[in-house]
Amino acid sequence: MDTTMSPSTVDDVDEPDVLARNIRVGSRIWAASQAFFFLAFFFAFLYLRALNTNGLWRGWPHHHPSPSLAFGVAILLCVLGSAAVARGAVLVAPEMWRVTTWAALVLALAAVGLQSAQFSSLGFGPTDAAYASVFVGWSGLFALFLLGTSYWLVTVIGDVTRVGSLPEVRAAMVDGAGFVLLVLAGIEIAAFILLYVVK
Amino acid sequence: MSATPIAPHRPVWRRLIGFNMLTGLALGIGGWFLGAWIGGQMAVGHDYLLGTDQNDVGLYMGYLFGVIGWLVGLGFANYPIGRLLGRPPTLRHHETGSWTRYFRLCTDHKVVGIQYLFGVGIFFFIGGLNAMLMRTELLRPVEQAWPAGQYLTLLSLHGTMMIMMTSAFILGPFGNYFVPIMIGARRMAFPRIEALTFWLVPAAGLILMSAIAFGGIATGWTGYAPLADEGRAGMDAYVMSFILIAISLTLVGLNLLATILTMRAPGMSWTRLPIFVWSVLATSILQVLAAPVLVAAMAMVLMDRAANTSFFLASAGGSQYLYENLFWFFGHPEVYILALPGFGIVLEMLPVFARKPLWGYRLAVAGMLGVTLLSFMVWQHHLFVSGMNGSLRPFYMLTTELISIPTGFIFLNAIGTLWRARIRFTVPMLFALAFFFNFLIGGLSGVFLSDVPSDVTTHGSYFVMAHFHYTIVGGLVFAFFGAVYYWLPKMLGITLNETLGKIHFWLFFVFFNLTFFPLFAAGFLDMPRRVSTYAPSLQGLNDFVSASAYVIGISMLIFVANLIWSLVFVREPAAENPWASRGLEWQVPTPVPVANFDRIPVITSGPYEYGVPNAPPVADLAPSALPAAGS
Repeated sequence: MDTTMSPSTVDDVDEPDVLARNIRVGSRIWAASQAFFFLAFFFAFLYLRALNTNGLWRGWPHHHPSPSLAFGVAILLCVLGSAAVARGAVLVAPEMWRVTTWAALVLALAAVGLQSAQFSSLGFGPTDAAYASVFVGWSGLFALFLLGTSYWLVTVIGDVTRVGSLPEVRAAMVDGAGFVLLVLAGIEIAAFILLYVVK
Repeated sequence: MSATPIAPHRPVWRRLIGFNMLTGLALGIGGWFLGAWIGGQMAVGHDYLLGTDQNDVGLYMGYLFGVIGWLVGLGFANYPIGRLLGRPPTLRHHETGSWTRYFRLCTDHKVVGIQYLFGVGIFFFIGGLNAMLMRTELLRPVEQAWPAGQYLTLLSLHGTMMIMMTSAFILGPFGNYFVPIMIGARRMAFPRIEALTFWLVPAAGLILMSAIAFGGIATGWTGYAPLADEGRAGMDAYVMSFILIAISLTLVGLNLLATILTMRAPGMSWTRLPIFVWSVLATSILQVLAAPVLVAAMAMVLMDRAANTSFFLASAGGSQYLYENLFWFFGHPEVYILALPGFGIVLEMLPVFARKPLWGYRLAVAGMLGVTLLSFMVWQHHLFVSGMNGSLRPFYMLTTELISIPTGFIFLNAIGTLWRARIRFTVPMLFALAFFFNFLIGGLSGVFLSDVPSDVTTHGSYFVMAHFHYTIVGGLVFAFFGAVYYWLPKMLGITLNETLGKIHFWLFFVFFNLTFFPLFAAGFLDMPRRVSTYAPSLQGLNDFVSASAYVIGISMLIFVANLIWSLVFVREPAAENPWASRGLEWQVPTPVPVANFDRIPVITSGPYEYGVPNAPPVADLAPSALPAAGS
């Protein structure tokens, strides 16, 4: 695959096709970094669960943390919905991008809001041994990443709304944000299975 | 997209007001106090903080707000806020103007490269000073200058600072400065992120040094749990600084990877890519995948310390081995994050000074990519004596020994390139040749450590310490100085004094070996790492090592004197291509224009065709090379 710059763009300082390709490639690399970040929590879950040090993986003998499944399902649906809408945007006409990005943003923020609400009524805390530690760490940092991606979605909305913004760059922004959300959705599926189903 | 217009000339006092380093420092200090106060309020009512003499929440909030204040003061918040308000994206910021652009957010990759060179260099010398202090303590076998706890802090600061700063040693200054030029691009893919990666480095360095004020660091550079969980508040500085550096490393890797993948000039095929750029590409892959795991591990330590989670506390269901696994999953690729750019630099220089093509170009690329792949499969050799499952040992022993094969490719490339060459023994070439001598010793001693039986007897001793200093100092730092002497004429437009350069080299090379080779023996004689006392029978050996280490320090002072002398007093303008190199970076004017090229060059041949009859020039840089866009 030839990924060198096109000779037809030699005189432009900031070539739209190069900018677009940077955003696409950059978003994929960023998604890979995010995946490896959460790989550490995935490993922590499996490792600590397998070791079950002092029999305390699931908490103290009198208290086994058990997060609300309803919250878990709601958060999962919001994240999946946000990713589906954001990623699906590449299949619809550019005129629809503003609506789809808004929808993805609202769903992502809803997931963050639900996570905050769950934390405020969790019924256990980070001190309740290993599972609780992994749950609080993984869920909390995931919400933080989702919040960061929401900022990106706001800038995408700004770009797709603005008259005169470059079409190639707009398409790349929509594609890039959608891809990152798709990877986050995959991470959220893994988190749901491990933290709510397997435990 | 639009370029920032050239700012009108303003008086110095006016330039000091605004978004720059001074404002960043002021807001950073203010932010620290604000964050510490907020953290103090947050901690009120939390039982586990009562009765302790430290509030980790307050410290972390202080550091967080301090970093935010630092970045806001430098101007990093302006663009994101503008984007949030719907302003159009731009790529360039303060690329033109006076010397003040070196002290503020600037998106010119060349400015960022020079910022890195001096920024990282300052912290490197602080780390080196720590080493001198440690060797002073080790002049006698009993405690003398510093109690054991302070000695531990000293060596932890030395190790952490050196690892953090040397991680940015090559990609920071030389990757940022030269990769875009070497591939025929006008900028990096994400210039603002590039600037951010640099400005996180001084923040991390200052935070790390603040550990001295908070009880120090007792863990060494590896920060092992559970000591990391239980250590005094200085550990908070360690955790925060490592998080910042790891974020910086991730973003540096992302930026360079995207730049190399998408912004190569027409004709810059994969087989024409300079070998240094290949090494940067391989290192970037490691950085974007390994550094996030370090961020996660440090986030877990942070939560253990500030939120009372128990990731690494066995008494509450966690495991310290989890930390060791996560840390070394980053830590071993980190070794190659340090080594690979060194390979790239020396292989870049050898053909220039041997006046021969690089022997086995594809083999070198395969070697670098092979090291990249294998480096993710070896981390458990650091845990051989930790009580790991015995049946896992052979696998990790094998993968670790396998990695010597692609590393050996690099030596083959060097031998093939130097064979029957008319070598020019310039200062950069001397450093390149010394790299291979030192790295060979480092690599061969590494084989002992990858073998379980010999690792069991040498683990935790000075043998390990001598091994990794041979690879990191003997490899990376020698490559770094080679690169400084090689590329500084292009970066700063000056030539360093060659006589002083040779004195620097010979003192450094001879006394580096006299310092570290005896430490293999100290290791075999059971001298443990990280302890300031040792058997009286080893005093002669240690005194010899300390004396040699001081001469290394003197050689560094000679380098600094040479730099200041050449840069401030002599200012002898460098020739545009003093080494008669075919590299694209040497075909552009000195100083390099802001946009690097009048127009994107067309690459017409490889960069190493020295002595090849009728070899075409490496690129067509003429304005008429291609029709202008739209014509």
